[in-house]
Amino acid sequence: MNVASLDALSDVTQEVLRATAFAFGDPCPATELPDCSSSLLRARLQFQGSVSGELHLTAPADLCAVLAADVLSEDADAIGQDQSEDSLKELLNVIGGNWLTAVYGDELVFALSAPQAETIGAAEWDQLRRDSSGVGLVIDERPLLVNLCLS
Amino acid sequence: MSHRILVVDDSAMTRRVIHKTLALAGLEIGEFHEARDGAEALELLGRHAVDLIFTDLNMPNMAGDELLARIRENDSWDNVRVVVISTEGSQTRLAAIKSQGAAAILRKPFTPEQVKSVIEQILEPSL
Repeated sequence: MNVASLDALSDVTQEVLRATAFAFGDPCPATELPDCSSSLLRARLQFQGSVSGELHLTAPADLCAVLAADVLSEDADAIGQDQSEDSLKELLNVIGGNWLTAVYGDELVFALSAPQAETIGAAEWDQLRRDSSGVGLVIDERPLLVNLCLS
Repeated sequence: MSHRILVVDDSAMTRRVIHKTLALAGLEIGEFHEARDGAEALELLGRHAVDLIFTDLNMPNMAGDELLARIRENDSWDNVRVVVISTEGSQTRLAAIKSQGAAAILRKPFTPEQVKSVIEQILEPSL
């Protein structure tokens, strides 16, 4: 995996979180992200072009609710599962589009899929954070993980 | 002067964010309509007159560029201004969207100040 691509993914993710959710993430090696016993949400986005692959954005459901609340300027307690998933998907959509431009420039055309969201368990989380394609952030002591899988 | 607005995005959260951002940008909103994709937007346009459309590009059923093309094909919607809001960064694709008749393009993530600047450009001097 190209280190520069992953560095750009970390930078873009931090910038998008700051700009959309006023959330500040501290970079952390993916393998050092904490275990998660709580429910986890994962969004997936495929991209196709001169390079093709998939991006995953994974975070505990309670962090997703906080991010959705920040985006909407509402109380996290008022955020439902649908809004948490919607928030994660939209964040990944923005991260994906901006990361592709940051890495491959503004001349190439990529097709992006509509992001999908799902609930995953602790075993999948463990697998994702051990993957060498992972970029970790810690937000208010909660982990957030972006994985890049090139085809 | 109040404006009739249509926001087209498959994300309900994004539609709400755009609504709030338009209000923060100082746009006087008369009617506010929402659609989840281009097909739903066209159906809504058949029933409601709107002045300004904010549309995403990447949507299921009918994407934003096809919606834009369908709007520009219809003479009765000549006065409807379309702003594309997208993560798209390709200058090739953005130039194509502009040439299709988009009044402006806003790149996500956007700020209320950027939205205000775009609105001022396309609605002056009516704002």
